[in-house]
Amino acid sequence: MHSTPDTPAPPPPDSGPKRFERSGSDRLVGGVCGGLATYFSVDLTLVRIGMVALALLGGAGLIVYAAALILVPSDGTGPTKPRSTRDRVIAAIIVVGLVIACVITSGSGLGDVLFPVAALGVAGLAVWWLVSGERPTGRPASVLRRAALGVGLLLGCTALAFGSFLASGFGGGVAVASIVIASGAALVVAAFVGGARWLVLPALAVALPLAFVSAADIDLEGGFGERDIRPGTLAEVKDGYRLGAGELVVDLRDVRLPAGDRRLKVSIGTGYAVVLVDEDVCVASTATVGIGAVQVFDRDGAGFDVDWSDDRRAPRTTPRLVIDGKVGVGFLEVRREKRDHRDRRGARRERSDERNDACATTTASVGSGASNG
Amino acid sequence: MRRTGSPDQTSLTAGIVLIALGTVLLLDNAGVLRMDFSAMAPVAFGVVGAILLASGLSRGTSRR
Repeated sequence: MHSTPDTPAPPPPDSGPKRFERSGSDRLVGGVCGGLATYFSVDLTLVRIGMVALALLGGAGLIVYAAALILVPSDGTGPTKPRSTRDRVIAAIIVVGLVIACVITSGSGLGDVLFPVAALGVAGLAVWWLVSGERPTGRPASVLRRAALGVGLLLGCTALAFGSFLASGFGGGVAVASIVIASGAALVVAAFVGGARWLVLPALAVALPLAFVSAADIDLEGGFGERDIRPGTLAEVKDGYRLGAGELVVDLRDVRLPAGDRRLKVSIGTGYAVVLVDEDVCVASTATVGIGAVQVFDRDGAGFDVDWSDDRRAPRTTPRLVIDGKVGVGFLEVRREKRDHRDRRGARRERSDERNDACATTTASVGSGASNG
Repeated sequence: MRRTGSPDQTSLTAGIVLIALGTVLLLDNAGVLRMDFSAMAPVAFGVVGAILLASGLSRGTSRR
C-alpha cells in the first residue's frame, strides 16, 4: 500500500500587523463595535453592551464612538451604496448625544473641556456638511479639514450674529438692515453667474439677530452691569432710569413722596429691573415687554409682546407713583418693602404685604401674554 | 464665478427673501412699521423655510 508522506499545510500569507478597522458587515451604525469585536476576538454583543454602558456613564462611549467613526477607516466590506439619509440620522444622533453628555458632565473638569471641544468639532462637521454638501467621510485628514472649515464658519457666523445684535441694540438697526438688503442683492446677482451659497449663512447670521432685537425692541444704551440707585430726597429722583443689560435696582424707600402723581420711566434692554417703594405709596404702571414678565406687587403678566397696564387711583392725600416700564428681554418688578431695619430680636424684617393697598381703585389689564391678577 | 445657463435657485431665492426681510427690518427700525414677535416670528421662520426649501428642491433637481 502506497502511502504518501504527510505534507505540512502551507503557512497563511503574511497579512502584516493586525489592524483596527470598522466593520462593513457587522454594523448597526458605523461598524465600530464590529471592528473592536474582530480586533480583540470577543463576542460582538458584549462589545455593544459595553459601548452603550459607556455612553450612559457620562457620555464617554459617544465620544469614543464619534472619534472612531471619524478616524478609523472601514475594512471595505459590506454595502457600498451611499446611505445619505441614514448618515444624516447618525450624525444627528451623535450631535444630540454629545450635547446631552456636555450637560450631564458640565460640573466636572473633563466635561468642561473635552465635551465642548468634541461637540464643537462635530457641529463644525455638520455645518460644513449642510453648507457644502460634502459628507464627513473619507480620509481622516479630509474629515479634519472639513471639521475645521465648519468650525471656522460657525465661529465666524457667531461673531457676525453677536456684532449684529450689539449694533442693532445700540441703535444701528437701519445700517444693519441695509447690510441685509445688500447681501440679498449680491445673492440675486450672483445667482446668475454661478451662485454664492456661502453667503447665505453669514447673511442670516446678520439678519436674524436684527429681527430678534427689532421684535423685542431691545435698547442696549444705558450701560451694562449692576446698578443700584437709592436717592435720599425727592430732588435726587430722576424722571427715568435706563440700563442696557444687567440688573437695575431703583430704591425709592428713602424718598418721601408728596401727595399727587410722580412719573418714573424705567427702561432695560435685557435683564432685571426692580423698583422698591414704601408702604404708603400707590403705584400705577404701564409697561411693554418683548419677552419676559412684569410683576407689580401681587399682579403679573408674562410671555411675548406683553403690553401691561395697571391703572390705579389714589386717595387725595396719598402719593401715586406712575411707572412707565420698557423691557426688551427680561423682568420688571415693583415691590413694596419696608425700610431695611431690624426688629427687637435682631432679625431682619420680612417683606411687607405685597398688595397695592395704598390705592383706592384698580383697573388692571394685560394686552398679551399670560397674566395673573 | 462661472456663467451658467439657468440661475442658481438657492442663491436666487435666498437673495429675494433676504431683500424682503431686510426691507421689513429697515422700515421697522425707521419707525414706519411696528413689528413685534407675533408678526416678526412668522416672517423670520418663513425666510429660513424658503431658503431650506429652495436648497432641498435644487438638490433634488440636480440629482435627477
